[in-house]
Amino acid sequence: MASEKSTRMNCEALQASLETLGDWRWSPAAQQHLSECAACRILVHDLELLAHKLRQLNAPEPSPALWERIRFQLELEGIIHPLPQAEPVAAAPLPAPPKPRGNSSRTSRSRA
Amino acid sequence: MRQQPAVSKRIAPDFEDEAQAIALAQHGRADAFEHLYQLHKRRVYSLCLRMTGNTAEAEDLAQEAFLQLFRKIGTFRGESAFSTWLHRLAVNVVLMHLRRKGLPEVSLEETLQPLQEDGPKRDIGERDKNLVGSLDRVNLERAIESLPPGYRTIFVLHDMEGYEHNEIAGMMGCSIGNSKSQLHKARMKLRDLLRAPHPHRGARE
Ligand SMILES: [Zn+2]
Repeated sequence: MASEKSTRMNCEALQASLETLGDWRWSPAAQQHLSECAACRILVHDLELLAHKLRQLNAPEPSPALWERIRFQLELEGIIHPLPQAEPVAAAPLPAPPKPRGNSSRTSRSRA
Repeated sequence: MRQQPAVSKRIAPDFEDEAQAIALAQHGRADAFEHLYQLHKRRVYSLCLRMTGNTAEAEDLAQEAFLQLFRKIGTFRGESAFSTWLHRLAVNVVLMHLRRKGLPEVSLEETLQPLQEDGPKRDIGERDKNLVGSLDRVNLERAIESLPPGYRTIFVLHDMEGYEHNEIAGMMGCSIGNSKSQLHKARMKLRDLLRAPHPHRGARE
């Protein structure tokens, strides 16, 4: 009968709209079809459930060795300068660029 | 708001925010690089893992992505978000890798049955095989891993990483329509994998 054919068409049309719609905003025609077609309803429900579950997945963590490998390579290429063992910057004997602060050392150019 | 002195998790020793860490990394500060790495490692690694389905490959690719980023960090001027930049770079690294391996990034149409024949019609008789029961995290991760590579790429980029179809089309050199239809097929395939009583192990060909 004609109704069977139109149902079939609508299933295809609904699937086509699944491709283009990411966010399941249904046209009236699609809503009508969904109210009549259990198969598409289940399909849509499954896909929505999937999307929901996907958002809940945690990002997995890489092994701690990964940073060591990256760091090693960065040092090898001279991109990073290894820090002195204990204190980060404060105790570093390296000539650090003077910070613009009320420090003991007065630079001559600060006061013109 | 409460300002707790943050139980030193050793990931953020001196840095007020990401911008400061970037600035210090641009001067070669090792701890700034580590800070940036710690901030973004999970997202980059999970992208690599989900697109390859292999932990060793994923770590290699994540390493490559971070190295490429850190080598270029001196050129970062903040015109786009740092995380966007890094993430885009990681996607490129993975896509290049898949290309080198000769894996199809976009599947051939023939790989799956046409949806009209294979889709909802059949489902009516299979209501009992509802998705709900099989949708725990482990099953979901496993199903994503067992998606054929060509489907997985676009699926991960769109549904898991949040890229739009036009961005994906740009990155992969395919049409927007292709990206959309591949995504749809991937979702349908994933649904099939999750509904199947036994996972389709080795049924890739
Ligand atoms: Zn239908």
